Amino acid sequence: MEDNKPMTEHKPAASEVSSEGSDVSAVGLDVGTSRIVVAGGPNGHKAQTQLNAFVAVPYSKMTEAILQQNKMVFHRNGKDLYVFGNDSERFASFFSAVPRRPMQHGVMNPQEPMGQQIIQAIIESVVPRGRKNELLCFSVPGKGEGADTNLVYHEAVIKNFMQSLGYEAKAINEGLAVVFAELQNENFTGIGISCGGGMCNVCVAFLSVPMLTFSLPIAGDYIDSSVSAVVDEPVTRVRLIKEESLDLSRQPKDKVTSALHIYYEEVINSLVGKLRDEFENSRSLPKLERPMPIVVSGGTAKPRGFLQKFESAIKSNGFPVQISDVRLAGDPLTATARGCYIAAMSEIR
Amino acid sequence: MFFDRPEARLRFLNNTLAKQAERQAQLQHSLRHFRFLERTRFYDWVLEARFYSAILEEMRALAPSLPENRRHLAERIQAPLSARAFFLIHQSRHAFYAVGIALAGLTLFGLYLLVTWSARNVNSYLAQRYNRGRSPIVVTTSGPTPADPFTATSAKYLPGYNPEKVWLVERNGEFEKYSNGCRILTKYETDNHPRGYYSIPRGSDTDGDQMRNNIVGIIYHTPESEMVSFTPDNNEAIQKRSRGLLEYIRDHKSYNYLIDRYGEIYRVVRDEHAANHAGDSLWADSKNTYVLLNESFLGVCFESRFEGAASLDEILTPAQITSGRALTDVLRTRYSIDDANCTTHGLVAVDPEKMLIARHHDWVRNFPFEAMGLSDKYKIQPPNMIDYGFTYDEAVLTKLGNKLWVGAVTAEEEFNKRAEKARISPDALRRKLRERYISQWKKIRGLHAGSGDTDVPQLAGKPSGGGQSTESGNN
Repeated sequence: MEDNKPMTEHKPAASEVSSEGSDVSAVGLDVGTSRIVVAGGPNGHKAQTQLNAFVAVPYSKMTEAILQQNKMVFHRNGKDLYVFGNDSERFASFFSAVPRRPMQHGVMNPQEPMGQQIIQAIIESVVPRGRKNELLCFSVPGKGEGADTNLVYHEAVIKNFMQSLGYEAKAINEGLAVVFAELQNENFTGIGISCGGGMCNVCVAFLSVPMLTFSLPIAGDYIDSSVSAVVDEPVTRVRLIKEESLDLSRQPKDKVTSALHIYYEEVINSLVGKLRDEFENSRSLPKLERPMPIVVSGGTAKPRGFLQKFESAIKSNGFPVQISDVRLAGDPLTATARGCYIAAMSEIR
Repeated sequence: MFFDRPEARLRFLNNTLAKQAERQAQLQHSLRHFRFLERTRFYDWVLEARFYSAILEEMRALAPSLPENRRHLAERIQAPLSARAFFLIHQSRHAFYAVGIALAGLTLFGLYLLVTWSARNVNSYLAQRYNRGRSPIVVTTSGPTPADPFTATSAKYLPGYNPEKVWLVERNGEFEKYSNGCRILTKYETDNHPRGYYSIPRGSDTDGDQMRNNIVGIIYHTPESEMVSFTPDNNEAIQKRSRGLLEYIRDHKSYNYLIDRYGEIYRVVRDEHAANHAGDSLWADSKNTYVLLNESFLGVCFESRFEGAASLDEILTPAQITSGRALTDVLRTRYSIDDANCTTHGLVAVDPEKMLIARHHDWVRNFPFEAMGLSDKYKIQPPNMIDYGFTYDEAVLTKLGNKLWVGAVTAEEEFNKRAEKARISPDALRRKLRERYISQWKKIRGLHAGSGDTDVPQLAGKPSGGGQSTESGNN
């Protein structure tokens, strides 16, 4: 970047995301394919979200002035201006452009040369500089098809960046973070599933110890692109319909929702099938005396009816372990970040 | 609810699990030699109890950070009794350690007492056992006085006594007659080799540098040959045995003189020649040490048998005692022999290989020194023991019937003190002195190479009445 001076619309103070009024503090960070969420403050309930996306436009003084007038977050890199975060969606809709993603399938997008800088800029926009050795836990996907080799690189890049911000950074599995966020009453025993944009992450935990983790490289983005392809609608529109009006418990009313139903079912069935296979093939799982819960989080799990479909998929062909209930995270979009925050706080003596 | 915050619960879980993992590793390490226990219910029970204990410990650790109204919740947890027991043990482990250390100390002290007590008992047992098998050492205090009134009164030794001037009265082809009535028969007189030795200043570590050939002392022997009862009806047998003995002594050049049972004195090897009577031997007066006493001492043999005799009367006849005294006076006068150098074979004979005394034990006791006008050599510390560290062992004691003369006992103690003073072990000092003895021995032997002078020949077992023994038996 020649001129990588970030101009942020809103730069949170450390106290906003750290434990207020406390000597010790920690930060939880969900580095997702579609969103970057940071959790901090008391109970980790203070969360901030930025879309993990950007739009590049050619530089001109007029464009830069418009962005500044609208208090948009952007980078200038030579002849281009990069609008990123939540503003990228708004900006894209203005110019009928498609936002680009710095990440793909849960890890750095190797086909996006500006990916690392954009992610850093987005993270910097929501995460304050850390105090000395302040602990930050960030989410990383589990191993799975297409993610194995890139995981190490992805984790190292994020870790280095967080350390450069002054944090003692520690990676935590995304599914385990969901367990930490939602299953404290079960002593962190159960199945945590994060259905995000790039992938679904699953963790089976027993007393907070991850016994089984894996990821599935199909999730929200896959649904969006697949539906877009079959109904010939822009991905942006498909996503808008999915996030605002999709109800999977009702019969589809048009071809877009019909396609969404189809691909949702495919994702759910693939996820449950993979979970079933992993349970059956795993030898390290302890024998549980009680049924365990499943908690699902992430933007892809938000549409109404998702939980019913998932539950029926679990029950349809039997499941290797007893399931007590299937529930949706209290706040599906921030569950992973909150779980990371809890993990970070638990490390503080 | 005990934990109001998820991170507190997670921290508790993580800490507890880490603690349990560490304890499981410790337990596995402790039981590494007893792997089979890991497959038992005992192992599971211990692990479970320790897990509960870890939970309780962690909750106890967290309690201070909790609001007061929730601190007591930890006590309401329904943990198994074994877990609570483990927890209590863990909480009071320092007291257990202290008690354990105290017990270990007491045990060690008890073991020490037990060992010392056992050692004492074993020693006592062994001592009793040895004492049963062997008679205690009897210290003989002095040479006996002959029971015969005549010899007893005339033979009384007086301190500073020197024999009166004795002179040769008559000499012919058969005998020499002296002024004290002593008559020496020369019928069996023979040659051996001229005397020759080095005088070694007493206490020096030299091999001696002044070559001498004068006579300095007398050694008294018994031949240990078979004896017949000294009765008139045995006259013929007695005389026959004496003749046989004389011929044997002459042939082997064993002694300078023999006194037969009737008191007849025979010179065998000429005085100026060394007889083969003393073998490995060592003696000393106040000035000089003498090694290989054949060369410097005369050998006077009483035809008698020392072995098995309970008293002097069973060994010597009164005539032998009288003649012995007369001959001693003649020889002492003639060669100016100091009383200190008149001793017995048993007191001078040594075994340099084993560094033992009494290699021959004729006259290790019962020699009538006083009857011979001599001081009691059983009372003085033998030079071979005090100066060279020759000693005695079980075999020697057995050979001597567990009887030692007083000088030997005190010499042994004195030598040990000497070693202690020199900050060296008695055995080490003994080895060093052995080397000195051997060096001195070799130097004298070098003077007579090829003379055939060896130790006193073994005579025991020779035909009775013919070649009787001049040896003291147990060689």
